[in-house]
Order: sequence, then structure tokens, then C-alpha cells
Amino acid sequence: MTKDDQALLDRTFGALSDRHRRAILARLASGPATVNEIAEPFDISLQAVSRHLKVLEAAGLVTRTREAQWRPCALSPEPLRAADDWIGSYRHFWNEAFDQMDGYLATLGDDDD
Amino acid sequence: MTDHALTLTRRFGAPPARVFALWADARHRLAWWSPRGLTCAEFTHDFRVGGAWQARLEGTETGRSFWMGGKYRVIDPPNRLSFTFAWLEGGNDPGPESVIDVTLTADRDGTLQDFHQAPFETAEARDAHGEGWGECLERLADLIESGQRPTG
Repeated sequence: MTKDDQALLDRTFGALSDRHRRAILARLASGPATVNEIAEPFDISLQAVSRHLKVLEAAGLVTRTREAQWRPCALSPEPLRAADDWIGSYRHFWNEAFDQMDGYLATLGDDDD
Repeated sequence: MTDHALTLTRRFGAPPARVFALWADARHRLAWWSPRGLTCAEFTHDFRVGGAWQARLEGTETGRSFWMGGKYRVIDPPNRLSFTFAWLEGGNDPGPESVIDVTLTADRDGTLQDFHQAPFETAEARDAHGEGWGECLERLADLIESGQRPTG
């Protein structure tokens, strides 16, 4: 992975580390929406949603044409795909580790303590 | 993966205490804490909340070493374990960090293991982005302005 890829992944992960932001991204995955539309189902304030959108914009995950509540926000999917690929690659990593865990458990038998 | 996190569920034919021991005991980790093609050559940890863990994986063909580590966040034997995870590259930059949550539930005479891995951001990194306390204070200011009571 290049240094640029690593930096992008760091920014993407920072953006993804908040559950509200992940929920916002999930909403935008089904199409662009205004800030009001995005904020509607949340129990946090519109200002909080707006701040989260700023973080997502800074990470290049969301594009917004203007600082106006009625302008739509849209998803930029490429960094997310990279993040999903990266975390998805762990699926094999852990499944293989758990396979080893399973085999190892069998060798331990009942005389483990 | 709409929530950008990884969830894996696996059943083991041993009770939760035995499965938990495979996570808790550093000697046991050497036997399984790696994917195929790598072995766990070293595993050390301070097994308590806030304690650090570190592992060196080694390529079976190449002999090349990969370091990883993190800190424990929750230790609740035999049912819950949570820790951060990052690859350690040459010291200062651990790369993207994830948080891993493991839940072990008794299932007949075996164990159902739920494994969840999601992106994680430390408080330091959050503050570097201008969030953390700054955001809390901003939020408080917004609420005062709008005449509402803070909820938390």
C-alpha cells in the first residue's frame, strides 16, 4: 500500500469511527439527500449532523455543493470501497485464525486446567 | 457492508471458559493468532483493562515479521473481550486502528463466538480533527442558544 493510500485509509477510518457518521453514509448510499433529510431520523441536533457531514467532507467521503441546508449531499464511494475492501480482507484473516482456534481446542482436550 | 464493519459468528465445541482462555492466555495465542501462511512467533500482553498487547507474526515461507498491537478495553470473563487492533509499522505510526469486540455465549455444550471489528479512532486523533472537547463545547453552545437542556 502506498503512503497516499495509507493516508486516505487513515482519514476514511477516522470518519468511519463514529456510528452517527456510519449511519449518515448508509443513508447516502441510497441516494443524495439534503442536510435536513439526513438529520430527520437522528436524535442528535441538526448542528451535530452538520458537523459530522463536515468530517465526512474532509475525508472525501461526501460532496456538498454549498453550505446551505437545501443543497444535496452525495456519497463519494471510492474511499469507502477502499475501506470496505480493507476491512473485508480481514474476513479471511480471522476465519483462518478461528479455524486454527478450532483445531487447537480439539488438541487441548479436557486436561487444559 | 453498509455499516463498514465486520461481523463473524463461529461455534466452538467447548464451553465459554475454555474458549475465553484461548484469548486470555498468551501461550495459547501462539497456537492460533495468525492466518494461514503466517505463524504467531511472539505474543505478549498485560491482560487487564487498559493493558497493552503485542504480537509478531512471521511468514512461514519468507520469515518476514509483521508487528501488531493494541490495548484492552473490556475484559469480562468468560463472555466479553474488547480491544483495539493496529499493525505497528516501524514504531510511531500504527496505521488505521480498529476496535474488536468478542462475545462468547454458551450454546448447549459449546460456545457461540460473535466477533465484531470496526474502525476506531483514539481520543487524540479525534482531537486532531478538531472534535472531542471542542465539539462538546460547540454542542453545548448550540443547545444554550436554542434554549434546550443538554441530554448528555
